[in-house]
Amino acid sequence: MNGIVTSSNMKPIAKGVLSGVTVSFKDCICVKGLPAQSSSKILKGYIPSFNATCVEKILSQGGTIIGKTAQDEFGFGSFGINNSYDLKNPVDPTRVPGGSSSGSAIAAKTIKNHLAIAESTGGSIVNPAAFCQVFGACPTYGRVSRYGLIDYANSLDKIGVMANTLELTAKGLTVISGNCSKDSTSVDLPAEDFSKFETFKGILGVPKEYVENLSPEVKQAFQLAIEKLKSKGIQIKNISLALNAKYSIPSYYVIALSETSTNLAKYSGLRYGPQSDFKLHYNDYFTKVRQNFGVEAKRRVILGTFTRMAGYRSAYYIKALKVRTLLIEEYKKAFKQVSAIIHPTMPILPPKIKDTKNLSPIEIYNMDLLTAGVNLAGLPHLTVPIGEMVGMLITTNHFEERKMFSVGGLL
Amino acid sequence: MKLSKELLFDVARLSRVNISNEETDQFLDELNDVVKAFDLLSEVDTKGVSPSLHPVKITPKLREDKPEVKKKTALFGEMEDGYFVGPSLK
Repeated sequence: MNGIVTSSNMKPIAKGVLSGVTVSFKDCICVKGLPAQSSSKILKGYIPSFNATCVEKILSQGGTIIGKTAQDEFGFGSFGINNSYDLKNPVDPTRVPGGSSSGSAIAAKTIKNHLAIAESTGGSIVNPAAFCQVFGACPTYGRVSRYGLIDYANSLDKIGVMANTLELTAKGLTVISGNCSKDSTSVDLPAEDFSKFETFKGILGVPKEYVENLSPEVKQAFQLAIEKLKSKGIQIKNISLALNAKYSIPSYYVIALSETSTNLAKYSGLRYGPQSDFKLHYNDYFTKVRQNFGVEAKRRVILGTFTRMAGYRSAYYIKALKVRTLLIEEYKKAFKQVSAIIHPTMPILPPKIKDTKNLSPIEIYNMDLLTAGVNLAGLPHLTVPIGEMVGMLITTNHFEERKMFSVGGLL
Repeated sequence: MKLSKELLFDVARLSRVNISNEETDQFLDELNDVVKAFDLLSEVDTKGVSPSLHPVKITPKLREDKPEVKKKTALFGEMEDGYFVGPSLK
């Protein structure tokens, strides 16, 4: 399996920097004429009548679209097991590929000269990219238009890229970036070529809390990568991200699920997917159609409704948004001491598929420990392979994507 | 904070999500584990802190209120006499 769930052969409309490159899109990104289901039964039969902005940009720069890739339902998952595709890690088929952009990582690893366009809410690009041993880049929030993305959580969703080389990853992110009048949260900044980065000169920070509980394989690969950086004359400084280490997971999940519960309200069996009997009362109709949600989607809608309910809203949703402010400030303070922050992308190797069956939701949510903070803060981040199924996460300040790639160029 | 069975049913009703009897006990335990993790946020002193709705500064963009999409494209679903058909509200 190469991660593709719907194949196509959509030719580019012009020559450009991606001429000769095949491109795939995560299933949640709308490509005109191709089914877009986000791996959910509730979107069965939905075929978009328009292209997402990033699709138009790829076609105008020479990319050939070869299909849509598998994912966890609506992006709800860290392992690639919350769908019906039986996905396996291409490096070790007994292990999970990671999630939620699982198919993107598999395609980037197994298809030659391929650019996979993926999406991240809390780590869904860098998690599977690290596990499948490819490069994965997630931009600053607002850098890439979300127009045409089937949303999970509006204030957290970012479209990014994966590829087998740093150069193609940087080129791909450059092509899809830019201001877009169709996305009200798109940021108006001049175009930059992220692939034209200079040699990195600066200090790299390692948050002590993010290297405390690593598996032996991850710890060893990270130490070797640090030695390599030191041998190139790079100064490494220990820093602290104590608040993020403790509170990024609860803050991230409260905000993500609150936003999810409103976003998924549009799946009412009227505009999209399977319908029911119109003679039913609206509430019964709505409830019946929504039985097409998977168990995790139901769980997240219930939790997100709870955190926004009268009586609980201040204690959970508003509180999480305030904590988010403090978590962003903690990163900003760190960037006054160091140019970029590095740590492993995931604390463990991808789990064996058989070992993921009995994990509880909270155990799965805790897997996002090293990626939730950067996503909550909307910071650009890049994972670079540093060992078998191990990645190093490089994070820079907002809109410093080029610096992020320059650190990647050292490894 | 601990979710009771009654509160769970109330939230499920508001969410228009049906939970079967078999799912109820499992859901309750799992959701309470998650809510316990959410409760950690109460430890943080946020007095005087403004909420961040977005991670970066977003300047609101508004377009003219003119339809740009044809009605038939926008209302992907059942149509009757040019209107969108839905279930009864009575």
